[in-house]
Amino acid sequence: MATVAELLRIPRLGGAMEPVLPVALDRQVESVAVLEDLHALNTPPPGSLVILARTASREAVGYRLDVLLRQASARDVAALALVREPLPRLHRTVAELAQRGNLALLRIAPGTGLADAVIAIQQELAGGVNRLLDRARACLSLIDEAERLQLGPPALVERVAEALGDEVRLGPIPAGRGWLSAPILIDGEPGPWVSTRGDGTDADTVRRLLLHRLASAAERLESARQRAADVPVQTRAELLTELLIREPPASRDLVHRARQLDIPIDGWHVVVRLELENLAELRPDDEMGAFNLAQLATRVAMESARSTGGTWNRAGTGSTVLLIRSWQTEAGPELQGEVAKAAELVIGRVRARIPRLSIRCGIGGVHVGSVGLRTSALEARAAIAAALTVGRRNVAVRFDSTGLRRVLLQWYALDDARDSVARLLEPLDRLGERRSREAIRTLRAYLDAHLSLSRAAEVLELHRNTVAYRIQRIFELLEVDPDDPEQCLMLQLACRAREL
Amino acid sequence: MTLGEPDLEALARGCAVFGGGGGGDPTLGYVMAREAIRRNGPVPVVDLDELPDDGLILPVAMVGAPTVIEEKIPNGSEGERIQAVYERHFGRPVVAFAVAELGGVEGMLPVAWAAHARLPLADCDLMGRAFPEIHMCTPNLHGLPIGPVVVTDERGNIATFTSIDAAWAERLVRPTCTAMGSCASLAIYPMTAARARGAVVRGSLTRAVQVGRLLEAGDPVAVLEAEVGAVRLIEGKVADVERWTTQGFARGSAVIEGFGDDAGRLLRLEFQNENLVALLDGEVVASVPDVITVLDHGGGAVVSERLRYGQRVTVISFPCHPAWRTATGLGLVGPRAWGYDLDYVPVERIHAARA
Amino acid sequence: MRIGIDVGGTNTDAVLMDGRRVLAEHKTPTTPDVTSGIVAALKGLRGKAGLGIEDVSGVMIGTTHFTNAVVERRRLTPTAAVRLGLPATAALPPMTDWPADLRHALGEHVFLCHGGFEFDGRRIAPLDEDEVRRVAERIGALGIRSVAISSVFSPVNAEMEIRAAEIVTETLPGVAVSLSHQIGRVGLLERENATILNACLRDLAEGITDALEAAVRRVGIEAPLYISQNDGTLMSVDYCRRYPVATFTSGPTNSMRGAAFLSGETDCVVVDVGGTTTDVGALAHGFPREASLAVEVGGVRTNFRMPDVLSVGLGGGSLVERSQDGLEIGPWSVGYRITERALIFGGDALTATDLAVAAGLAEIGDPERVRGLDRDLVEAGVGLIQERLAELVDRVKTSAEPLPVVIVGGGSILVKEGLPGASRVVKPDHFAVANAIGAAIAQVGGETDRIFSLAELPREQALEAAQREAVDKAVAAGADPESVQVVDMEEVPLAYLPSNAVRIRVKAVGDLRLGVAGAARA
Repeated sequence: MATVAELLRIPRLGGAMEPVLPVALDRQVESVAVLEDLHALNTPPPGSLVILARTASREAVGYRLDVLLRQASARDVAALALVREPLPRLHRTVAELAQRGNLALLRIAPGTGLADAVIAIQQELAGGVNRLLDRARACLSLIDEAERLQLGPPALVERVAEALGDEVRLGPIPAGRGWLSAPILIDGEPGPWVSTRGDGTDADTVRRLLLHRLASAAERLESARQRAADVPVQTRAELLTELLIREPPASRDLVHRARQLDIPIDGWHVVVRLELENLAELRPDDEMGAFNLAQLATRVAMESARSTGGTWNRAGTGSTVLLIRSWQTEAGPELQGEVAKAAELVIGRVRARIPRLSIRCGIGGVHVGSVGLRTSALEARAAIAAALTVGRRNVAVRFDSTGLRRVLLQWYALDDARDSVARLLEPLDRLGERRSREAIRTLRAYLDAHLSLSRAAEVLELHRNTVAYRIQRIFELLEVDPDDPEQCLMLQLACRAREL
Repeated sequence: MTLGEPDLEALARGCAVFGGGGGGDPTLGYVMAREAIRRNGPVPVVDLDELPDDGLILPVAMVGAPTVIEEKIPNGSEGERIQAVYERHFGRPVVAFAVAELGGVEGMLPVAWAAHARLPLADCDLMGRAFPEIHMCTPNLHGLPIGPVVVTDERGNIATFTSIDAAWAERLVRPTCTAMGSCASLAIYPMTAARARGAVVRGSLTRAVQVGRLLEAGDPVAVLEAEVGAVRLIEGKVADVERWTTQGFARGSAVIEGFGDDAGRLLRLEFQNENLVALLDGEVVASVPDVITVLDHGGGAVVSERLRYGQRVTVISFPCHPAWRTATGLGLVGPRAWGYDLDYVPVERIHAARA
Repeated sequence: MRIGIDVGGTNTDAVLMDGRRVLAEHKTPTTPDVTSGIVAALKGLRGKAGLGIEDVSGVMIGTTHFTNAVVERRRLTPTAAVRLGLPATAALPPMTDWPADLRHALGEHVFLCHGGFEFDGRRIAPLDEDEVRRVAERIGALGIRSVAISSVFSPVNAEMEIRAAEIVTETLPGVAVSLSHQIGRVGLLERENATILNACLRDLAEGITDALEAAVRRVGIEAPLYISQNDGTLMSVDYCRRYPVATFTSGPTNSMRGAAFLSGETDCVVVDVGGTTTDVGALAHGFPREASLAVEVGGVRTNFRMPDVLSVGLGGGSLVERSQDGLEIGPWSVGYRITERALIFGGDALTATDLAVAAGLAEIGDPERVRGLDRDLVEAGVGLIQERLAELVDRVKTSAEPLPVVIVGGGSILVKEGLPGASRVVKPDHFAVANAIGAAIAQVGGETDRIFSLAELPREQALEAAQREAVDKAVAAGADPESVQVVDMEEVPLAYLPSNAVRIRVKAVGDLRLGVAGAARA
């Protein structure tokens, strides 16, 4: 036995059977019969669902439908199903007769396999363990389908409850007796439970198995959902990582792709570099565990950063996490402080989640464009290196506070230093103030770009050949060997000092 | 009996009841009959027994669209013209006209022609009710030939058909009627009084007049129960009317929602000009060839094209002429002949079973 | 600003309207001489409006003069009826079914000529011009000055009527000619009857329209004058001279349209509860639904565009009686004597109004006098009244869909809120002058009613042709082309006709171009 409404929900029918009128849907159906001939309506027993085969359905229009409804209610038929396209207008008498006979009038979409439908209905009607098994089978195929359908755990639980024809809860273990439950593990930890009522019979075994199956599907779905949510972030992260580490740097193609991914690559950036020091210590001999921990730290870091507002992206691999704060409009150097505050929060949150984790954190300066992004990343790394020497952990260290600038100022304050800088740059100064400034700027960009003409050209917004020509001219004037690292360092210091 | 001006209203009323929703609005026929009687005096109605055995009887009717008849009124001489053709053909005089179809305008026009031709009307008709096609006549059941069928228009065009059977006559007459402007007069089943006696519905005019008269005074349902064995199907309000046209016939379906004693019941009435099937809550309570008639508050019959939402009506049904209840009769005009997948059960039997 | 005037049998009402606002209203008794009653009404209106009414842009008048003339057989012009239809139609010559006294009043001058069309436009017979000329000469010899011409299927093709009219006018210059295709629709006798009635009113129309115009001009109004037609649209005075019959039953139409206008509804049922009777009609797109059956005027069947109005003998003055079968209310009524006969006014008769007051539906007269009434009786009586009104409302509707119900008339207190079948019940103000308002707000219209053969013309094109024709007629009648809308379209498939014949009726209306002279229904 089942109600009409329950039959309409039989999973295998896939909604192919629907009510024409909201009448008698709560009626109990005891059997199902298919009629080929309209005149055979004296055969189906009371309480049956009578399905009219195609030809009979076609004939059951106008007055004939009236007669049929009348005969059906006289035999106490519970429901009558016609194979039909949706009916545009129902004759007044049809509605009235169905209502009066408390008879459900249903429609089966043309093209539905009637034989299969009847078998499904019969199994549903058979009830007991068989019905439970049939329903459980439907639940299982639903669960199998769930991933393709991209259902979340709540939606899946709801659909399974519908297919099972019984209550299924998602949440804590319900109070009261008779509940069967199974936990859903999220990140390896028990999360909510799925529960349904048992009846103390053997059928509960089926229910338990189903619940466990449901719980593990829910677990998969949840982590898939989290991964899915991470996908765009991941894609961007990979791209950004490439932008930051690739040599030679920043092909146009990469920049273009970054723009397509909506990364504000042309804006101003500050890079926060996080290095997770002791992953291996925390998960000894468990590479996978360490990896997962890194993933978790990365996710938490990103979420925390985003919670402070503004545009954040991430990059980095393994134990190194780069968080990038970007602005579309011109950003002043003071914004680095704001980012530093955010970084403090990030460190706090990550360590709250993974208490014994040791993090080193460096923050770059504010720089513009794709080259600026790299610069800020380098500065962040430099800041960490500086912090290392003084053993500062779990705090955000700003590039400026590494003391480079201070050191430079102190050094430049010495007469010797000033003399040597003046001497070194004298050939350029002879070019006149304007041309000298231009030459020093070009030189500094070249040196900062680790002697890359392309990157220098990009920073200077000049053609690479222009930069090459200028650099060649400059080195001719300076009589410095570009292949000598010491001379180059000196030159770089000189350029920086000039700009102080 | 003699049909004078005062009897016409009763005849029209009675014809409308027997017409069972068909036969058209009798008003025009009534005015034509009255005018003809005013000009030429009353029309005698004679029983077939009173007519000479070999006397020729001409059942006459109009074919065509009611809308056209209401605009293009007949000339008045159609009957005499038809009479002349037959007299020439058979070489003997026509002794009476007859009504082919009992209903609306069709019941009244032969009165006009008889008055114009100064001939009596035989007290009979060929259906005992109204049907939409000319071969649906009782003489057809007795194997009498429908022809020669003479069709004429107001201009004086005359077409004579001798067809192999009645259905062919119907097929041939329709296009001729169209050519004549979708309205024409005709005579069918010309026969001697002797042949007619066993082959037609007898006494129908006197019965129609009597019923019409009683209806003017008494409770319509009681009158019809007593006079024609009518069964009351429902009293209620027209709640829905659907119409469509197929092959030139106005078909439709009306729902009557019962009130008073019938509250909570729904009658579905199926019609094709005439009312064909009545289903009460999905159960057939009357079907063609029994007559199903819708009566309005005043006891007048409502033709199917005038059924309208909100009308207060009583639906009755009464037995048709026994000839229609034979196997051949039902083959010609039983429910299946109209496309209804129903076995015919006489209305009085249905009623007895329900009571 | 516009002025609307309703000349009724008892009262002449006038309203001054500015757009949708009623600025002033005035009621005076109708006088036998037409003019003085209207002058009095206009002067009264001027007094109430407190401003010059000479600047109005139009004066719209609804009048029952012509209907009354036919009903009373007074001042009717001897008329010749000429029908083109032979050899068809000889069985029923014109005026056959008329009451003898009316036929006599017109002189029984009936002529049948050859001609007329089939439904599909073919000729029944060619028009015999000599025959028509001979008929015209005989009409001239009889001294008849008004001729009604009808022809079979002239709504499909009016050619022969028009040609016959030319011949009659050539032969008898100055004779008034009325043509059936301009008056009625398909249904020869009914259309012809209306045409003959029109013809016999032509002399009277001259007099009445002159009097109406004189009355309006006498109070200093120079604005154009329009007369209400039965379908709720307007015609010019000039057109009214030629087609006075178009004023028939404009009263109920104006009343219903006025009531609907006041209530702001366009698709509704209007219930006018009077002292003795209640009239109920339905409006669609602001126009009354028209009767599909023939309507009798003075004993003559016509097929005018009449509003489909149901009347029952139930009103404020209806007598309440207890019988064995229960309670009966109406049709007997104390009528206008309600203010002396009803209990609440100190009389001795138990009326429907007394029940309403006892039930607390209204406070008029002296409620103390009905306090002692049996509560069961009051309840049953009020219930019965609602039931009967609800039944009436239901009967004028075309479907079970609930519609707004507008209640007007002196007996409107009988109607309770929550009437079954009503989506809402509206009781508007100013309803006492609803007729005059209906006249004032009238638009101009055009109508086609033709049979199309869909074998020759696809349905879409047939509908389009019919619509275009109706719109053109409305514009010709003086409607602002911008404002013309098709308000009603009916498509009836015809049984027993070959080639899918359909009868298409289209009605279009638009706002009157005020100040444009010569508006007329084409």
